[in-house]
Amino acid sequence: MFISEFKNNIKGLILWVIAIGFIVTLFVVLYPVAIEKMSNLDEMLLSFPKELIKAFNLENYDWSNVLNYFAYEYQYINIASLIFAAMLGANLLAKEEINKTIQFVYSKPITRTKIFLNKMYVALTYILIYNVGIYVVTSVSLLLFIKDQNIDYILLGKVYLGQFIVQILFIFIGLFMATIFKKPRGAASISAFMVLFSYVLGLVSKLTENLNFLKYFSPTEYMVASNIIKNNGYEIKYIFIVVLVSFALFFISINKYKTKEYVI
Amino acid sequence: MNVIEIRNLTKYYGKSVGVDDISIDIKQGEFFGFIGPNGAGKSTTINCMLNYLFPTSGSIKILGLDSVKNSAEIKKNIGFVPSEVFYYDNMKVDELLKYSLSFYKHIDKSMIYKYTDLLELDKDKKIGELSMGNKKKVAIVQAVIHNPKLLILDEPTNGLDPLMQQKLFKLLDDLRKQGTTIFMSSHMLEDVQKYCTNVAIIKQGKIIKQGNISSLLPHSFKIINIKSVDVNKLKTNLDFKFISNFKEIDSKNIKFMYSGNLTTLFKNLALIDIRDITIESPTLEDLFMQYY
Repeated sequence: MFISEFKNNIKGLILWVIAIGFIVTLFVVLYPVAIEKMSNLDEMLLSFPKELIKAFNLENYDWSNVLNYFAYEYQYINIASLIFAAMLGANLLAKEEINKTIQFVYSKPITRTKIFLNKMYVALTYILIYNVGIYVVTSVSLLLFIKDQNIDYILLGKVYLGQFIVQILFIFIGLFMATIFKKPRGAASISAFMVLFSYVLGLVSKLTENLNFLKYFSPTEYMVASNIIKNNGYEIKYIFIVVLVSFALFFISINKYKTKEYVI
Repeated sequence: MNVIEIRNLTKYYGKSVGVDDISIDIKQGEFFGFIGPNGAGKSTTINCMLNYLFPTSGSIKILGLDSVKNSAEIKKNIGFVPSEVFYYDNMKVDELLKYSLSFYKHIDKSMIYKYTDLLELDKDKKIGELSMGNKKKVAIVQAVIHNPKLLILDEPTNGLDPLMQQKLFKLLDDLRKQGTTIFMSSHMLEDVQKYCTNVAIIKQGKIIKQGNISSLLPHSFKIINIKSVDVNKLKTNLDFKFISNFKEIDSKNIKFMYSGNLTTLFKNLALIDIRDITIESPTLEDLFMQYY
């Protein structure tokens, strides 16, 4: 089932990697233009409130290092990458029910647990390929277009590993959404909405100190690329939250899926 | 051994009832017909047998195993042809059948060709390009390639042309002779009567009649159709003590069920101008219509 499932959805993955890879390459190519405009930005940022600079992850605005520039630009691509993961998790499970092909699959000798696990493995493999693919595209574009800087490719790898970790959480959110609804038609959109909601919550959390605690409820804030580059790594507490919440969602979802009625 | 044992199965959808306290036993090698109108509970029963749905109460045992706890184990020996077929449109027929086989162990891939040839199915076509009838053929092939001990068919003739229907029944009959038990829900009462050994009639979620077909069909009466120019005179010459379900189809045709002596009937009819007469044994359809 894994192989068939893997093959069935591969076109979508390839399209995502091509699209995101293209945008990332564009960012890299536009770096010299961006750095030229940087001097203006410098002055402009001085007049901005501190909270706003923090909200848009512009604290690390020394763009003479291409990775700082890249991290700023990449935060928006990161949102798209998380939406991809959330929708992937939801769709892999929900589509069989929406298209009613679950009628075929579950007439075969396979348990519901195995169906769930196979979908989960495919989702995890996909996001692994996704991150490796885009990491390779980013590295090649940096090698080709940015020749006058020593680029820390391991640090760049950490950015993608960080994204991979948060994507795992959103895959489980997607799988969870696909199992809790009787008719899972809206599961993918709700999962995608969760990413945007998390992003907005993250913005709000940075506006005042009082609301700072909200960042824990905003997974999009866990692995911000500019923070990873600034700190040369991750904050362990967030990895802990991701692991804990992912496990919780996994156990709830798989148990719910075992007793779910397939409405065909 | 009973291949299927349904005990007091009840399934509610919220407050509305799907099936209500039904019990069915099916022995090995039986060709079982499950008949009833749309919405009577046929598909609900099948969906519970396959664990798509969970019974509200009652139990189902298939091949001696519980349909909820041992669903995957049971399905090693089951083939299922659904009423409406939902497959992956971008897959080729061949790919789907190989995918189907991948769920079973030690199955000879050449079985695919045996059945696709038999049902004249183009293996290289994409599922999305197939007509409803051809999709149904794919459903039949994927249900039989692993030599199941039990074949469950939900309206299997839907979408098949008459020639293909006959091929299907020939195939089912052959499988039954080899020991496969067949459970078929159908509207095609003629075919059920022709091929099934046992039937159950379901209405509004309840089984109203079940057993061996020949024992269920009433042998004590005949169905008589008469065409006459003078129906009123005809009526005065009939002994209504032995007549039931009398119907005046139009001004010249009447139909009724007759349980008296046929010689007496013919003597009475000899006095009237009769244009046509047919005498039939009751069919499953007649039995079925009694309840609807």
